Amino acid sequence: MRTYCFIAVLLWAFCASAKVRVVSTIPDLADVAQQIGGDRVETVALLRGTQDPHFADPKPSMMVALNKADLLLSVGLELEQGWLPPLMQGARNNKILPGNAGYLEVSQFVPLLEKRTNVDRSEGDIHKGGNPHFWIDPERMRLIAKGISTGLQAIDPEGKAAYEAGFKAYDAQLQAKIADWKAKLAPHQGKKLVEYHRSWIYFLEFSRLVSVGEIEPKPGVEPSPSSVSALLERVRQEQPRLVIQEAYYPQNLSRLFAQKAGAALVILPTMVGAQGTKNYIEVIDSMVNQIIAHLN
Amino acid sequence: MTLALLGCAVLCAPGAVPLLADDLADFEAALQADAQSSAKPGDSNGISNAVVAGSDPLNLGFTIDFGLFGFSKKDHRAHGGHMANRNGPSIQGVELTAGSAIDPFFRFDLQYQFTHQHFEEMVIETTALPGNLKIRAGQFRTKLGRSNDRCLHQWSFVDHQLSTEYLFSAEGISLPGIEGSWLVPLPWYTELTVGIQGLGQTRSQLSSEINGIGDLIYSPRLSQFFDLTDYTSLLWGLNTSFAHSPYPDHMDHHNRSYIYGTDLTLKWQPESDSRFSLTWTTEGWYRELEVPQDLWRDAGGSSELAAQLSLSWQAAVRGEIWRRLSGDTPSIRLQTGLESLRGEASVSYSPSHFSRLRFQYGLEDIEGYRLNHIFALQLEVSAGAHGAHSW
Repeated sequence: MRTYCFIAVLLWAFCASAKVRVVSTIPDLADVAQQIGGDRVETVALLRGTQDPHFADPKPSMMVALNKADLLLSVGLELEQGWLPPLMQGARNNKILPGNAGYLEVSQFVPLLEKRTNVDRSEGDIHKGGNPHFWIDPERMRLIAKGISTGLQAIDPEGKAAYEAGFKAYDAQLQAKIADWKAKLAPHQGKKLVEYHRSWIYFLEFSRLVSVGEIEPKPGVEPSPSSVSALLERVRQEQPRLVIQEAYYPQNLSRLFAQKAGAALVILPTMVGAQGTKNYIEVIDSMVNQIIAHLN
Repeated sequence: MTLALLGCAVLCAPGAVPLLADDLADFEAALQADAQSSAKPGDSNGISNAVVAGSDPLNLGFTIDFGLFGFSKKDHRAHGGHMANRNGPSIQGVELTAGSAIDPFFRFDLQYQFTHQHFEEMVIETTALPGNLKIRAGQFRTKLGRSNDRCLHQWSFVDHQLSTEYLFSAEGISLPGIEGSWLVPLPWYTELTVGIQGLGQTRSQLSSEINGIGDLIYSPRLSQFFDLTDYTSLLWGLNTSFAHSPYPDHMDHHNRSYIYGTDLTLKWQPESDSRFSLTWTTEGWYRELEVPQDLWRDAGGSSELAAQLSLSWQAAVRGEIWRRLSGDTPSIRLQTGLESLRGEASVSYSPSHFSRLRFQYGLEDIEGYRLNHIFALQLEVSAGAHGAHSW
């Protein structure tokens, strides 16, 4: 009897201390979940901040993380469609399959841009449901954080108060930073830039900067010398000040393009971990500061 | 050349902006420099894993492989399967794929090959079994080694491996049956898979009718994956397959066949460039085949190195060997596996995520045939949903 009691106490202690295990595709979502969940959650991101989320390596070790997950956070809009499905199938964890509370596509929480109908691949790698690069807009990240908080409450109802408090604190922090970022960016409204991939539209909406073109002739299609020459002729009149891109895209061509266009090439972090960033707020901080430094 | 063609295409396009010659030359040089410093990860075959499945609930997709082939010797060995046997053009594959969740408990996936008019796979899979278990039922490619359960568009070459052909068939082993797998609860990825299939025949196995459990083909596999560093990964597999031999003796005694194999895949992506990767894959096989009044023993394998050189370029080399260890029944030698050596090199270019052009040169030295040089140019395109591939 004494043994049974001891085992029961051990089990209770294990259950009581068990944290909600959150696995996210991009590290930014893991960071936000950690900020909201605090000690109640432990988070793992499948991708590093320097990886291209379109083309990740679906390593079997990721299945082990997904097998133990209580909640899977993905961007959605088919951004991870090329590598996430076999991992989810192989993880043997019904909790994180679509249709269950443990599967959360955060695209559902934000207003989306560039939704398309009647589109085919002759136009490039278009995401019909909308452009999936929305997480780099801090205003939208507030909505995502709210959604993640709700998702955590659904799978861990006992932590409702903690998640609500965590969200409020994080949201307040984000709001303060947003005011700061907007104040810094305000003098530069309307300034023009060129993107490498069409992954900045949400940030441009936030920053009021204006894109006059993309280095990629079509989304997901590698630029050719002639396509970049044509872009150069087209945007010279516009006098873009910057060429912005993620570190995982090739840089020699964009550097030369920037040089010929009289602009500065700026490699920006878009995910936590890139360029030494430790959390989402540092990512946006770095983005805003680098852009302003070059615009000044 | 390709860059020139692309450039020409844009120049000739209606409404194209006139270009400055020095700009064009500069951009070509910069692009070449970029090409040397970037590649797609997670894409060992050069064509993208990306999917634009759209709103199609069945995720229907087509993959078409067209090839031009040239052989230096007319009497070369005809490998069969997706590989052409004559000089000239060949439709290597027209594959229809579909897959969807059925309900919270099952999903299905199918691959139909129009060129050979058969299902390569048609599988119903559980999604909600407890205890880290999964069961697949239907017709499926047996999980044996790294190549058997991969389809044509996942290869780094235009042709299949010799070991797959000699052990099973030119299209590997895909038979009706049931497969159970268990993700072993360990800190690292360990999966135990057991395929039980029947009512079919390969070059090593026979299951013509089932009167007892001994009449089935059993194929267990244990695979383990290790993240050696953040940038280096290793997959190690142990494989076996047991069945009746396709060569019964005259006393109606069922001869048996035994296949043992191991495979190793090592992948490296440098820290400085997450888009570049090198993948080294090696498979080794040993077979014992009881044949009338003889024991056939042979062994062989392959080793290939595939490199993503840039966003669009991939190169791969492969060496293969097959050797007979004992047994000398001439008819069986011809049917099971001839002593062989083969070396191949391929270069692939993908204009987009959904199309790929591949050139391949191969040199094979197969017992009973003269040294044969093989040239191939393959065009592959994917339309509709193109399913994600495993590691």
